[in-house]
Amino acid sequence: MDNPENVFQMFEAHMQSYKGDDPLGEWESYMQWVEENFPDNKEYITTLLQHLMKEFLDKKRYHNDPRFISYCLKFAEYNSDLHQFFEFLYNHGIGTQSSPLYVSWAGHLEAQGELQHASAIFRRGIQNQAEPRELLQQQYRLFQIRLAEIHLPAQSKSNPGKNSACISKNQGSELPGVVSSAHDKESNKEQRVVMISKSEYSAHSSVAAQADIQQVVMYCKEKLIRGESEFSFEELRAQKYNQRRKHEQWVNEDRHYMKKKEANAFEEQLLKQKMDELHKKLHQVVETSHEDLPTLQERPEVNSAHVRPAVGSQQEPTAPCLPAIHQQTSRHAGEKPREALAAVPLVANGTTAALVPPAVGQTIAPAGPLPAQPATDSRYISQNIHEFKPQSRAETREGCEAHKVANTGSFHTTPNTSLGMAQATPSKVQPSPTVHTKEALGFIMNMFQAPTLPDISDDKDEWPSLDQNEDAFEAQFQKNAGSSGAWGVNNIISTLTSTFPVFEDGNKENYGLPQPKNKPTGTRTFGERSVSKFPSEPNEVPHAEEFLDDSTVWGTRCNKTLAPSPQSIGDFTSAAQLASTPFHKLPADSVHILEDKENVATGYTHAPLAACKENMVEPSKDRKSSPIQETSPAQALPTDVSSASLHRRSQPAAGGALVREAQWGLEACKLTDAACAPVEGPPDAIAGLQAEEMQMYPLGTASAPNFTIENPWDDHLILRLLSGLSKPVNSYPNVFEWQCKLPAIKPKTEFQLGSLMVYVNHLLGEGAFAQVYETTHGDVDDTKNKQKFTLKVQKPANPWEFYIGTQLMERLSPISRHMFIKFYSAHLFQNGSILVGDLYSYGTLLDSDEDDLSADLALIDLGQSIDMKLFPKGTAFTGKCETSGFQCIEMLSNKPWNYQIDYFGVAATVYCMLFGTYMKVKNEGGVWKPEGLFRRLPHLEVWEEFFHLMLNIPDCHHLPSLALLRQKLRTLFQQHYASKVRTQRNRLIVLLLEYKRSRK
Amino acid sequence: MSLFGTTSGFGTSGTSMFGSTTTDNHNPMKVRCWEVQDSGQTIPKAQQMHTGPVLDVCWSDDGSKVFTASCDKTAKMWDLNSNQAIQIAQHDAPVKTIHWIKAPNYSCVMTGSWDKTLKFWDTRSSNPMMVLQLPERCYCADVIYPMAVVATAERGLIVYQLENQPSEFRRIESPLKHQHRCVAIFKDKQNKPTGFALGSIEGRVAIHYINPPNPAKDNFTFKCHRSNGTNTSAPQDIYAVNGIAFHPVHGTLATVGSDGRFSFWDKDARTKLKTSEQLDQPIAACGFNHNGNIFAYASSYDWSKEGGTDRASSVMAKHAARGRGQTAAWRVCCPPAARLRDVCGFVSLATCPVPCALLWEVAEVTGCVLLISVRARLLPTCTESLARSAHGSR
Repeated sequence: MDNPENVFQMFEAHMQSYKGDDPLGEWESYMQWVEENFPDNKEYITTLLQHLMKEFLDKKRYHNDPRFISYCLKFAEYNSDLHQFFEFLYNHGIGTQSSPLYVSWAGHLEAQGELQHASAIFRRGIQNQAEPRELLQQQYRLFQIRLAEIHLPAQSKSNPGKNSACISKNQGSELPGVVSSAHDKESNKEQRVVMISKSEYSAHSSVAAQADIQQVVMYCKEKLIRGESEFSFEELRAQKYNQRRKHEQWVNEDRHYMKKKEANAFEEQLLKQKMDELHKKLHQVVETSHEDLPTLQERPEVNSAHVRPAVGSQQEPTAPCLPAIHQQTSRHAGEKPREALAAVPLVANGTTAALVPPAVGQTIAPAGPLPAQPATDSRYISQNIHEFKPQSRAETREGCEAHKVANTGSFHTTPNTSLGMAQATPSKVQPSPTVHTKEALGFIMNMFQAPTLPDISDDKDEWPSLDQNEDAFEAQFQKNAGSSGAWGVNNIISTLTSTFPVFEDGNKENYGLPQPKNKPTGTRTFGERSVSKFPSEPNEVPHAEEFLDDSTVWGTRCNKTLAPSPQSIGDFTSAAQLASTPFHKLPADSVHILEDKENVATGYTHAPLAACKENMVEPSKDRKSSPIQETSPAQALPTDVSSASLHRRSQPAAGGALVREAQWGLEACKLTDAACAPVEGPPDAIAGLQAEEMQMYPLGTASAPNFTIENPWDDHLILRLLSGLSKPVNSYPNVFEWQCKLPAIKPKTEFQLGSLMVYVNHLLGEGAFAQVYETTHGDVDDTKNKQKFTLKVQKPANPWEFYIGTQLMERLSPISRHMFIKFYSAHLFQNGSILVGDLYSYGTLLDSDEDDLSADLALIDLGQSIDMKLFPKGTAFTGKCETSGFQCIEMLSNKPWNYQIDYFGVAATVYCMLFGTYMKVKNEGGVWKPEGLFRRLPHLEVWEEFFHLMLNIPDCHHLPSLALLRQKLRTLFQQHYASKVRTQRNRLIVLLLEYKRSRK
Repeated sequence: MSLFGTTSGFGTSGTSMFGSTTTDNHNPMKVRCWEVQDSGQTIPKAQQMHTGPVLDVCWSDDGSKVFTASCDKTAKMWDLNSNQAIQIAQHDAPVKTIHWIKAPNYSCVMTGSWDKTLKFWDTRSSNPMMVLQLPERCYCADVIYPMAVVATAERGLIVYQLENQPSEFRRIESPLKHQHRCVAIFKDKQNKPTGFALGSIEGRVAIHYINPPNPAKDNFTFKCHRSNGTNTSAPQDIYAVNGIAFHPVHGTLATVGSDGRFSFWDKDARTKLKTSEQLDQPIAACGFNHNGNIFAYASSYDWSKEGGTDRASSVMAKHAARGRGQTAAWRVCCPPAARLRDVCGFVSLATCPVPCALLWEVAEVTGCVLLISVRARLLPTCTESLARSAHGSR
């Protein structure tokens, strides 16, 4: 990502702190690096040379340094009046004792036809005893010979012999035509070609027969000969290695410098905030004393004045429900405290916000008094729990519950930390890119970085397959170990030759290990984006082995793959576990990791249903089945704290529903298209979608009911929603219900799917509870053009995803439909489901028009969608998705949300495309920001504004205008990138085709 | 030099040297050990790291140790029994060659460096047993007791005798006109070293006897690793000869080149026996196993095209691309030379001298392994032809 200017800044920073005695040496390696990496950027090189000249012009000790001279000569090439330049150098005393300078100078004059002058320069050099003397003398001799030839053109026969004499200096080339003499600067290619045609070599060659054959050396000969000495390939390589180390050193220095700077800035900010606070407090105190009111009464007022509407209104029903609590608490001891502790921070936040106007934002929580408030909170929360206590709890849930109980201990500490609000919910689990996302990212990054020049440190990012290959060796180790039961060299050797004693304790650092867990740390080379990151997470441990095994197979079989292979089951599994549909049970062991988060991730249940019943808008005509209509609040919308963990199938569910592919589809969406139009892609589609919905269900009126549902992905909820549909899923013509179990589906086999015989080609990807296969069948009407399609096999059945897919197609305008996967049909079995969908193979890209570029790229995972249509207007949610990278700000700060998640998703998507990594957010002084340095990003302000807008949404009723934002970005895009789209698109196509090929 | 210890006292010092102190995470330089089965299948066995690119590897005579020479100016001894590696040599410049010398009265490691010295180490002392000055930087060397030959930059060529103690035997004027790149000693029918084959950077190998009856007739050079025959008018592409190996039984030799081909030759009959298909990458190193059943060669990037001419770099781009399962797309986005500047390949390959059922190889890998696959294959037709021809020529 480095561009020359940045590198130069880095270098300058480095030079400023450089204490060594050879600054030119540093310059030299820098120049080498630049020439290496930006060979075509002549302008930049000239600028650099200029800098260098300025820097060393007055440094006497370098005046005859051959390195400096060579830079002078290089710089001379860019000078229009060479003679003047040489004069200038000479007068400055530069290179007065350097033969190359005289040779160049004389060569220039000779070329100008000023032979006398050239001769004088040679003599001047000899007189000044320029070094190396031989060079100068030899060149002078040659010059004289040429001079003589001009005078005696008839004797041209003598020329070749003499020429070759000169060449013999270069260790007797067989082919004078190719010899590039380092100090023979003035000779250009044409001249040499002429020499070849004369083929004088035959004169002293033993292979006269081949005299006419032109020979071309196929190695970088000119690199090997520098000045007087030759170099071997390995020496070049060693040089590169050293240069690289040096470059890394600069980068590190720069990084340290930046870090320091940031730290300082941060400190400054802190101080400033403290000052602000003090001011405010002072102000408050003054006011209070003025009004002569007790503080306790004052505070609520402040609250209601400043607290964000959603929070404020939620606090109101607190008191009345007190009595119910205790009973409930005792019964569900394990569950409640967690809810409480999640809720307390939220209320605390409200309080905090009350003290400091939201606009200012604060990092440091005022030490303001919170008298009696906590008590109210807990009461209030408990009440909610009571109200929403699930009527029936799935058996499976009990297991989870047990884990949760363990967390209650942290109850008291949590509120404190969240008071500060600075660090709401640090993501413990890195979002795990799924296979598709990784691939997509790879492409995207490529596209984005196209205009910038290569950077060494980025290499590894851009070559994801590196990791894989690098792993192959180790992975094979594992395999060997596994199969033979023995490990490593020693055991095996010992079986072969008695000279090898058995070796017991391996060197853990150097050696492959029997425990796959440790392996990545010791032997990884390019760890950053590698899939083996997973094993470092506790819940992935059981998968580590599997993963290694897979990569073994894969490593040996196809080490040419661009990106992590979809065949790599472990890889996909791990990814899918963290980011896929909500219909995945977590393996028991993974509950451990979840329980960490329960502290913070608990839902904040708050739905005074009874109160707002009247305000509700009927989502569907089917009143009876709409759970929201049910009179008993206790029965309505069972909420469950743990429902935050999306992957559990354990949740009770109830009705409701809506449209959105929650942006978490991010992990699965093939965003590649957006690469062409960074801003126009998904945000567009989503914005369109959003607009549509907003039309249907105008949001953001102050009077809108505050309707809170904890977890929109709750299984039971979804079940209810589905059963409450006016048009049940199973009434769709393309939904088939089978009173049998899922047929066995294996690659390379056929099975009967309804009336069709389906041949399964291969497994495209696999999640914890879903497998996606590529399949073929002969005669299906609606897919006659596409013989191939995908089967998404899920256990248990997942009609929800199908419903969402169908709804999308129904509700979306035809233009944006292609952005989402189309399901042709769904087959529901007793224990699972098969969704028949499009196969996205990139294949149609070539056929598509430019405008249609994204035709074949689509959101394919609809598992975590919410149909807002099925919920009353104004419904807000409080649950969280477990994939921390997809948790929106409101989830992180425990606020209710609805569309915020989409805004966040859009922001995350954009971030993803800009930086190639998942977005992590941080709260800086009350303002949410994406983490990471923006300083090298083009159009910095626009993006900053964008992220600010998208991440800092006041509440559910004040959503930023996407249209405006889109307008802005579109303008920017058209201004700056319109002309580049075509080339970028072509590159994208090449990449995609490439990718497709490599996948075969 | 506290790192030096006795061969028996490896203990944990090796761990700290190679594990945690390998700070250059970015670019760990690895030496890897592969087992090659009769089927030609290779199985990775073990690996060690250096702090700089590894330039050469060799085995001890009993097959228990592997020695590695590196750009980090050190050489290391890797004891396979304990999987520990310790530093055994130190130079002022990168160490280019390393050889194990097993003499009746001593055994030592010979290292040749770009610091223009040849040093002999007993592996237990931080001081060399002996230091011999070279006229130039050491480029390649070979040892078959009691003979050693070292080829240097500027076409220097020196033969050493190793009896009693190493000493310079003779300086030879190079039979080649271009940079020396690889050298291999061959034996006579009594199994004594009698001469060497020297490969040049420009597609030529010289066969040179130390004491030939008729020097003018017995010594000769031959061309290899060039494209196109002599009968076409197209320009002839000339590639570097990267490695030479003699068949342990038949005395025929194999050469490998940057052109991505390996060839077998009968030096006695002065004929070419066989040339391989052209691979998509240069072949950087080669070797026979102890009984000549298996010929191993390493196909990888060899730095011959680094930042070369337009022609060279475009060719390289193609190579690079293929190696990575991609094609010319990369050429669009970045200059291949820049992209590949840190991609290192095999430079050396040594086969285990111990006659056992399996062949052990050590192949040096630095940087990323991306472009690289080890191709150690059983080549029945090749070995057959080697044998047939060798017999036929006698």
